[in-house]
Amino acid sequence: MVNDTQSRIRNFCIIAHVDHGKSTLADRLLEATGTVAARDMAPQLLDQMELERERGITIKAQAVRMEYTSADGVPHQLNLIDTPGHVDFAYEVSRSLKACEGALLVVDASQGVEAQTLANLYLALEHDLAIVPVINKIDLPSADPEAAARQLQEVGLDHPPLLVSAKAGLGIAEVLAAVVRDVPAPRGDADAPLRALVFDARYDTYQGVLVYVRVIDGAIRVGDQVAFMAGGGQFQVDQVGVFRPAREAVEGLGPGEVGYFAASIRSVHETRVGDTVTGAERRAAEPLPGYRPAQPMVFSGLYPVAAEDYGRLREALEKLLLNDAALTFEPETSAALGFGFRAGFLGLLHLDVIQERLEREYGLALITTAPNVVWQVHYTDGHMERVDNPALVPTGSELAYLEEPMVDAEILTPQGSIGPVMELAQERRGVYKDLEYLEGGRARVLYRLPLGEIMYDFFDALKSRTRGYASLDYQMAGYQRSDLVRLDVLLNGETVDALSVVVHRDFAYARGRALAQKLREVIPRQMFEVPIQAAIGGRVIARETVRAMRKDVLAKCYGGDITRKRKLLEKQKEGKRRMKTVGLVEVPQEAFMAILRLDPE
Amino acid sequence: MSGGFAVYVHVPFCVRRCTYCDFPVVVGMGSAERSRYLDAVAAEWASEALPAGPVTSVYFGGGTPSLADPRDIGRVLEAIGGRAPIQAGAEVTLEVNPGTVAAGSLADFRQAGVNRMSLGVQAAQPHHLRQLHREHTVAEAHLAIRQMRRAGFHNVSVDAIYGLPAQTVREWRDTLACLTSWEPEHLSLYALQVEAGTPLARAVGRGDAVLPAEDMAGDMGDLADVLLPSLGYRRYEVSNFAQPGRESRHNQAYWRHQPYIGVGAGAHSFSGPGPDGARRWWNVRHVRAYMASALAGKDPTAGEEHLSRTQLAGEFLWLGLREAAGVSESAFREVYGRSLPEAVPGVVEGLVAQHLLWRTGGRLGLTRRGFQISNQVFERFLSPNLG
Repeated sequence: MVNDTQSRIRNFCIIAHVDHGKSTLADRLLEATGTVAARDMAPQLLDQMELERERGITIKAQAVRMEYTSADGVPHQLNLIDTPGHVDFAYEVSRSLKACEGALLVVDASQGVEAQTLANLYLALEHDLAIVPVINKIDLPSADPEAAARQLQEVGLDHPPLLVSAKAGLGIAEVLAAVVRDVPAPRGDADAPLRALVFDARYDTYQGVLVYVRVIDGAIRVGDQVAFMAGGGQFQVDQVGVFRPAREAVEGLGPGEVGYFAASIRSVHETRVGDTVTGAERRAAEPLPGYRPAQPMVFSGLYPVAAEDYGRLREALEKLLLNDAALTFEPETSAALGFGFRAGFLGLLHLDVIQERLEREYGLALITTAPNVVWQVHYTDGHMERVDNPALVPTGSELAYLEEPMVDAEILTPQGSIGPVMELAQERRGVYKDLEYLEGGRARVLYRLPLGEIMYDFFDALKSRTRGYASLDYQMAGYQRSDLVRLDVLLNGETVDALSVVVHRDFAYARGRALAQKLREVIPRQMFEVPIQAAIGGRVIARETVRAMRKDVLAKCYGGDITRKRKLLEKQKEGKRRMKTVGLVEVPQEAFMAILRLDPE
Repeated sequence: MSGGFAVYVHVPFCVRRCTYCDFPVVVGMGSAERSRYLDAVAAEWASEALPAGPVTSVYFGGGTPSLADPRDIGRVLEAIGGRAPIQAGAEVTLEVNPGTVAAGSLADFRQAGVNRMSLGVQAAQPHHLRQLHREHTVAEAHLAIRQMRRAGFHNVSVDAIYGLPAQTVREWRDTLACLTSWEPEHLSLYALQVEAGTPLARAVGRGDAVLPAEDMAGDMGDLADVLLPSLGYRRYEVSNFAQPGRESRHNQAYWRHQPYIGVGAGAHSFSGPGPDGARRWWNVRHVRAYMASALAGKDPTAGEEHLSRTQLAGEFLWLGLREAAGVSESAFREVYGRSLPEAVPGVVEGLVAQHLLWRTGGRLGLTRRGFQISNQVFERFLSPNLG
């Protein structure tokens, strides 16, 4: 039964490629509906985290309620659900879409439709969302709205696109009118047992976890006992509220409504995105479909440069974990680096963000080992183990074979660059799947690739070989047996476990050589000569030498200016604090990432 | 502590600024203003609080002190002696740039009380002298030494720099051969330091000047070690070589934590170690600002720092290690109340194992290898643990 309130709710999100102006459009909608006065607008209000603002990406989903009176005088409740904008967070995107009935598809008038936009559009169509295409930045000199409109038509959108300049505030009223007109009202049963979709969660120091929900059926009110259907936890609701965009408590949320509740939940890990909230007493028979736990894809060792920072690193990770359900970490020990953690991430961006937050917000100096995938190690005795640390991949006779995770990668590229794209995919052990010529001089290239190969600089290489035009999206495609070997690095004759990597046998020699060369470049001269060796199964395949420092003297001491001399020595010593002493060798952070930055042969 | 203190007088006049120089200097000062500058020095000296004991050495550094009127130098020495006795036989050095001084005035400097001269030669190749903006020739430098001898100076030092842009090892060898053939008593051989803000730093930044690679500069540094001992010079400090008994007393004062009073623009002073640490302070660098202040009877001090006991103990070690004779372990324990193994656990053993330090007869010092990369050794001694 659709009641009157429900018929005046619209839940929608904005789908856009990075830089196509999603956040600016959101800002204008907030202003035009009077949700936020123009003078209070921080640029791109929805991107709250400092890092998000700096990088122009959204990491956490947001939801804002707006009041809007349509042209015929009917008041409406518009809920804008902002979605993360990066392939690392694809699952979070899909949960956010599930909370909506419609989507604004924003396309840059000069750039046209990008691969990521398309991927998200298809996701939106899968969820039966009504799509309202918006061509943004029409005021730019390079704008070509006709071409963009043609592209939108080619991808199957019949709805006439709205022409907008979010920056200049053009066409905003039309966007709001289209949301009311073209996005369907939610359909939910107010009398059925509560079913609310968790689409995000955020830790608040005072109230515990704020669970972001979209109510599908029933209602959630203060004082209710609620249960998580997948997670299993039961909680009493302390507060229910909406974002306007500041938090505002309400009595309850009915079907179709979007907001949050707090129930003294201690960690976001009890509130997995995609889970269904129901009544503890009056339980729904079926959870909402499509739940899967967030799964880290890449793993990396995190070690404090100074051993005494271990405790602080643990505390910092625990704090980040409160707010990041996709992050995992476990203590590990490295012979070279001492005590640290093996942490799991959704992807490289996620790793980068966490690393930067640890350094910036918690003031930690870290050594991060090169990220790797999880291998399935099959032993000769028939059992299998999942291993997330290259140093632990066995090399002896107990090893039967290794399996590595694969992805199906979809690359959109101008037709002129198909050759270089396929060459790149081939170099990275890709298996060709399909090639499709699209309108507008574009092509879709499908490859199955090892995740371990695209994790590294694949995206950068793709961009450079297509002059920036190609884009990439990928989905996990299970495990596949591969002829992988562990490549070890020895510094000064000692194996440095934190530098071990797993590579395909065909590339092992070339990468071993390139890695040794790179390490020679990034490891500074020491007081003694440092041999660098790359070895496979104990056999050395490459050797380089960091020559001993020859000269480091401060000669002149003019007019007794000892102070300056001391400051130079102190600075020199401080510089070494950023390096980890492995054996007797001072190794900078770049060395641990050297495998990612090998010079092309 | 041996007692007494050293005096440094900064004399900032120059005919032209050298490309690598970042000391307080002025170019183009007339003789009247130069005399007034030394008036300012005398005025500052008159109001300095002095450490106890006699003056053990005086050093006129620059700049180009040889541009000063010998009578003005004499006046300053008189002023110094007027407030603290100058020890009998105290070393009184004047820095000289070739071509800036007439034969006659050398005798006048000697008359004024100067008994040691330090001649800035820097290189024995005309193209290197040109690139450094040195206003003299090699022949003028040689002439200056002969004139000094004639004027009765028996303690002469020469300065040279290695690691110059485009310098070859062979050129450096030639420079050493040339300078030693003049038979000075003392040689200061400096590794070129590219200081920010100098014309040299800009030239290096633009790529107009290319410094020798580290290995090559290292070879140059080693060359002196190989050549000079056979010619009767002993390395007694990181960058200083001397005939036995001709080591610079003034330089040693810095490495041995003796108090020193610096007068003149940008000069540094040191109180000497006390129970609570020590104080170091320095004057305004700007030459005319310094003059205005000192002549008006104001304190020209621009900054100061307090050194903790820990910092002092660190300096005791890393300054002491600059000298070839090294430091005495028992002297450290006497002054700072802790043995070296307690103050810097494991450090000495590690450096000895790496052949960077020797340790014999209760002393430790840099090995030849240690001298090459002395900064790496000193760094380990910056903050000893005094408990």
